[in-house]
Amino acid sequence: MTKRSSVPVEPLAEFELLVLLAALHLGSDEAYTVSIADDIAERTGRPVRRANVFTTLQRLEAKGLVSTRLGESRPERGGRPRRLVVVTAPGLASVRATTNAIQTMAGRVKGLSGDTR
Amino acid sequence: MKPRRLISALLRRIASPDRVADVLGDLEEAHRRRVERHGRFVAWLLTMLEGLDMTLAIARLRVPRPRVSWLDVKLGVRMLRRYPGLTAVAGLALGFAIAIGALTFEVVTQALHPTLPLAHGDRLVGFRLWNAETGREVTPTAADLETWRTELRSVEHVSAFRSFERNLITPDGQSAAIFVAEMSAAAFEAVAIPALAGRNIIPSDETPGAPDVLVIGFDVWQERFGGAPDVVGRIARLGAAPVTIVGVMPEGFAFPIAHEAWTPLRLEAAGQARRDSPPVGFIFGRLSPGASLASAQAEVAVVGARVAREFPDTHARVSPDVLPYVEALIDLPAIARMALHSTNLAAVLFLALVAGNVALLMFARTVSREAELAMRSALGASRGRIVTQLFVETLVLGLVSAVAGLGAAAVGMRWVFRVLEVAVDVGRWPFWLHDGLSPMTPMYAVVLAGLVALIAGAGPAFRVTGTAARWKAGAASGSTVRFGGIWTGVIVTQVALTVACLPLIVDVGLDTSRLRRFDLNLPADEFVTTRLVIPDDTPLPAGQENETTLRARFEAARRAMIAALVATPGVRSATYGSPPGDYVPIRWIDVEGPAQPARSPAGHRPQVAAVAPGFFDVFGGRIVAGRDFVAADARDDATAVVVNQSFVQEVLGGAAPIGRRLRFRHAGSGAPAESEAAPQPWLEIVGVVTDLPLAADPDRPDGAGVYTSVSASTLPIDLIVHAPEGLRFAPRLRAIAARVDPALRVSTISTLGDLVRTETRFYAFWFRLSLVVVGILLLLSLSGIYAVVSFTVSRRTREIGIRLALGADRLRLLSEVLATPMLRVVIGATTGAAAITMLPLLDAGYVAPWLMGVIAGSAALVVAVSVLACAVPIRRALRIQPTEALRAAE
Repeated sequence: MTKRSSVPVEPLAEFELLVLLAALHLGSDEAYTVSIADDIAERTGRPVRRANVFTTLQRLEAKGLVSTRLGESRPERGGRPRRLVVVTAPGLASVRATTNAIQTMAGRVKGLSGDTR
Repeated sequence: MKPRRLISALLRRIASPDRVADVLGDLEEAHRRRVERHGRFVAWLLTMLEGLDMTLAIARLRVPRPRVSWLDVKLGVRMLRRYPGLTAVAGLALGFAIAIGALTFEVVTQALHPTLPLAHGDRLVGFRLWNAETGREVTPTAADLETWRTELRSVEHVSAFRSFERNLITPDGQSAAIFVAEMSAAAFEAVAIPALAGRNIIPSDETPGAPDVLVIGFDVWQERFGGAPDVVGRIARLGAAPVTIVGVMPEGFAFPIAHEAWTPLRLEAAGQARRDSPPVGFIFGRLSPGASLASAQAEVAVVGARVAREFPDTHARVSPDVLPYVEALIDLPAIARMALHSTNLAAVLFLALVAGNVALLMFARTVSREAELAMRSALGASRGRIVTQLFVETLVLGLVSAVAGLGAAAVGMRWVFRVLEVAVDVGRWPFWLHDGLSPMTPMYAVVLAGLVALIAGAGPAFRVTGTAARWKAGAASGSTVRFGGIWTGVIVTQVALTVACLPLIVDVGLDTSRLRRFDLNLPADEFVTTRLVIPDDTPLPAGQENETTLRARFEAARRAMIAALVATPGVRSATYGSPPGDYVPIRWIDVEGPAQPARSPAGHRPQVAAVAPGFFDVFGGRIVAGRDFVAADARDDATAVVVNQSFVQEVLGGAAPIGRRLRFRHAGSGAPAESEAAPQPWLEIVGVVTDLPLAADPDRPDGAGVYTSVSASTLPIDLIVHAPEGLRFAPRLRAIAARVDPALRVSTISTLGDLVRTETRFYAFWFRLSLVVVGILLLLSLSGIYAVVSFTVSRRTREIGIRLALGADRLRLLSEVLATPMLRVVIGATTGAAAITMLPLLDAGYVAPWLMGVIAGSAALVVAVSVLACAVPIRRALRIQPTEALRAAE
């Protein structure tokens, strides 16, 4: 009998994975819509619509893969606080599972694994 | 600078308050960065765009994703069975509206975006030349054809054709006109359709001096040669010229438009100056492999510019265009295109109106299921889920209606073709038009079904599920949902339309009935009629090519025809003139001296027919005063007219008619503005004839008639032959015509009975169609009213029950329940009656008393039937028991 995980891992779409990776990279005190969008744009070199980041975060929150909390009010935001993003344990598990799957699949393709950064 | 107020306002409407602050904060932060980087204006623009993007993204998040399951579909089918009345009414109405929509779409598609039923139909293109200076089209010449044929790489098989009609006289002497295309051999390669027997036109046929050959169509082969297998090689005559039949084309082939036979196009372009190059009718070709319309246009423009430089005297401002074949061939004016699109839009609006009505019924049904929906809501079904379910239920109804509607549209298309054939005398249809449905039309019908589901399913569903919060709070009974203003408007409009349409249908019905009773008082099927003409493109002997010669030839042929016919065994008589029962114009006249007052304030308007001497004898008419026409009256400047007895009574009041004068107020039969009216010369009444039937027009079956003499120069002319064998005489008639003059064209031969029957069928078609439309309108109005009353009763069950228990007056209670719906009916009926009364009032300045009676009767009928529609719910209301009412309130 195969042993199965008791917590099902949520499969991630590509952009969801990027958002979660950016949030993990920025940390729970700096990850919010604007900074996540900037981070993805900077690292991937592709333009990112903040509206997409916003809706993706909403979807991830609904799935329980991230949670949010309000930060302090900021003058550059017209006195409004940031909504900071924290990746939850299921979110982290999903990121691990997805990246592992990608690496496993990519590793089998000759000449590709060396090129991946 | 703060984020735009518009974005802020939009966000506050669609997002939760805490998220609004987040988004506005994000926008503000990004905006400040942009101001530093791009300046205020660009930053403002970008922030606005981002704000709208953000708003749309949030809106998309909030719209529930429809999840459709088979259960919804099954439920939809079950609903059709559970509410058979609603299914029948809504299905019939929607089916009809979808049929109209699909039919209109089909007609518009065939007219604007036709598909050529040829292997390379989508790659056929046509050329048009425009003169930029005059803004007019220029007829292409043989030189243009030669240029494009030799220089263009993106268009191959460049060809041309010209059309003409000519008598085809078969070896057995039978003659009938056929529509011939004088066409390049390359055209047969462009369409890539081989001959069924023999061969196509080939390039050597185009050489001047080559034998005259003819390729015939399938129908000509069957009808004129009896499908003879050895037809290829036979010699027939095309007008006077002998031609050898070299091939038969397959069934249905009518390229380039609606042609029945083909001869080679012989052009003597070589060595001619471009200015003297003969015109060719239309140039076309096929896009070469890999070429597109755009690349062909680019190449043609380059060639056109070079030709313009080289031949400035003829082509200085001329520019060529390459267009899809039909678009190039038939230049549909912009106004016609707009009219077609508007008709399509009108059909969609009609469907929306019908769907609005069905929405009313659906709304009532949905409200009656409020308890069930509240239960589902309480069990966790979201509003989106319930709306989806109700949408799918209506979609099922819409799809069933679409299937029925498509069937009706297929039948309707055949009707439309038949009616147009009768009404417009279209002859043969262009080969790309067909009386079936195109593959796109069923898909369009499905889209219409989706529209129906949106209006009649999702609309009421959103409205009813708006009370979802209240359901969750546990208040499942005692609905507070009400009919809104839109549905009140729908009912009022519907009733108004029904009342307005009823008098029209009565009018058409009366016309049809009058037509059915129309009697020519003679054995109509023993009289055959046809139109004779010698076409003006008929080749005439050298040196005699002018119109006078043509008319003289025609006049001689006319006389010879009558002489030959009366000498033919089986023919009792023959004459020229307007066939009784066929259309004749009505014309305004002035009468010299005293005349009776006319029914119309504008004056007398008798029917006017042109006849030859002896016409009256053929139809049993008797000259009761004066004389008949004589040969001298056929002069163009003759002034003699004969009137009928009704004219003497109605116009002259019975006074002595001979020698009295009348004149037509203007040349045409229409009614031009007074300033354009140019009175015609005075005409003298020389005879009075007994009343003979004139036009089979229901609006003027009898009455005053004026006969003028057929002029010697009249071309074409109607021939009427009294031959008791009827239509069986037709082949002999054609043979006689061919003997008299090979160029004398005999058009369709029919009997006088056929003429009247065709007219009757036309009216009967409109009568049936209007019956269906009014029937559906009436049905929808009544079911709408029924739904409103039924809904009102169920909403007030508790109140009615208690008031009845407390001894309330039943009549008073009844009037309260009925007041609102009946008020809507009365408003609708009054509006409809007023609108339909305005039509004759604006047109003729008065309304005939009978019409007033019909309008009043229609309004009364609709109100009365509406009261009847209320009968069932009223009965239910008055039978409500107090216990039942209280239970409903629990």
